[in-house]
Amino acid sequence: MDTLQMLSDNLADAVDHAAAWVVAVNARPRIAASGVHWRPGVVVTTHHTVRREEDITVTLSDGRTVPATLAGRDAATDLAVLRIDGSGVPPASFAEPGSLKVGHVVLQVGRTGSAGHSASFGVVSTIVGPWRTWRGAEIDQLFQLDLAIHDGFSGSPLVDSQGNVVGLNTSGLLRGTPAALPLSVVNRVMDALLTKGRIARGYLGVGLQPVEVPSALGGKLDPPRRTGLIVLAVDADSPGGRGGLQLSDVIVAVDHQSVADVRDLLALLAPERGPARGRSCAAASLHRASARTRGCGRQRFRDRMEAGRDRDQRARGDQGVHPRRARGRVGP
Amino acid sequence: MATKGFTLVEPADGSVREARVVASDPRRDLAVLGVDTTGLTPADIAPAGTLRVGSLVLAVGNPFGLSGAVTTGIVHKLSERRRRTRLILADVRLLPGNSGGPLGDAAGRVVGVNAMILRGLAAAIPSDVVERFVREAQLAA
Repeated sequence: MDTLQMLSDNLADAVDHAAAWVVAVNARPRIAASGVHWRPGVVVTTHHTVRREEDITVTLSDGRTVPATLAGRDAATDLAVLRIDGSGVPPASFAEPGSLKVGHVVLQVGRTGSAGHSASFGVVSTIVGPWRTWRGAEIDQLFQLDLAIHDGFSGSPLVDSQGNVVGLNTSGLLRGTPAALPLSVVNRVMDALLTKGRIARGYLGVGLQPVEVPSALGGKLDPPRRTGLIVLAVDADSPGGRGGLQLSDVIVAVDHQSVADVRDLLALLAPERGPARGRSCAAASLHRASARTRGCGRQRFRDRMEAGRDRDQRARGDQGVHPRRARGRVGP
Repeated sequence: MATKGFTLVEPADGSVREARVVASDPRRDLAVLGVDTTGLTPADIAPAGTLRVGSLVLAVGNPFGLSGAVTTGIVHKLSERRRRTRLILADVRLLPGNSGGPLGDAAGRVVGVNAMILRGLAAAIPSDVVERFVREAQLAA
């Protein structure tokens, strides 16, 4: 049989195979996002495409639309997990974890309604990792893809030439470019969201910008510091606010470790480092033209959901440390 | 197509032939031209239902005045509807001048007529829609 025809049939077979567990997730106005029926009764999609927490429905491959409840979401890995009654449609079948390599041919299979599914085709361009996402999650790998993004990309599965799932696609982690989270990350986050509803991450509540500390000031600290993060916004009702951080303070160290970039701070707040309660941070009060090392008080980094404006932020896994750089618009 | 009346057709054999507009339908964005087809091979049309999401497709056309340029990709979606017509969406690069040209499958059979670029994708009118339009035009003539 002709090679081109065989390739064409193989691609279409892989798409057909995967389409059975691709769903549409109706959780925002206008266009639905894709999702994957990952385990029986459990759907995974991207966090940034879930814009409401009530009245979410999911459209299955057989055309039925069923109600869904949000089990949890994590802004740092851009994942959200829903519960549905998945009887009647199969759950995903997976490739061997760790089998995906640069250059492997991959397909993205999406669904944005009851009319049918869609697909894009490309290759794995680079595998990055270990890597810390821009919101502070540590992930072991991220697949960068040479593949076109169209409606239904985020939340859709990345599948191999057999139609088996190798990752979960998102445009929300690499400045709008096509990427996919590996199975290990999706499964780990899904386990945490299904049991606890969120991933506990340390929360500070400030907006920061990296700065160079003038030597006249930084030199007076013990030990001397040359880099820091200037506080440009403070949520008064947050651990940072109540601990005494003010606008124009420059955080130079947390737990005696220098910080030069927002990522350094996020790393020090990470759940893998243990509970964040009681951490100390050293801030130089630049606006008073003096440098003193002062503790930020007993920073009670709370890791439980609490009432008030911050609850939703923490429920989403948002650490309340916002780097001031243009984030751009996350796409489909 | 802006002109009604006479138009010129340049097939692959290098000839230049006059053609008449026999029928045109703005809603389906299709037109039938009557032309002397002596010596020309008619298109090999793919049977309905053989094209699937993921199938390889290629677009042949005259973008920017080049002739016989080919771009390839896969079928992105088969369930797109626009103005009550079904469209094939393909992840294929289309440029001005591709309109009216064929979308072919891996065997070189025509699966559609390229009509426009929609959300960055090539949108083609499926062959069965084209066949119905041509039959209607022939009956009316």
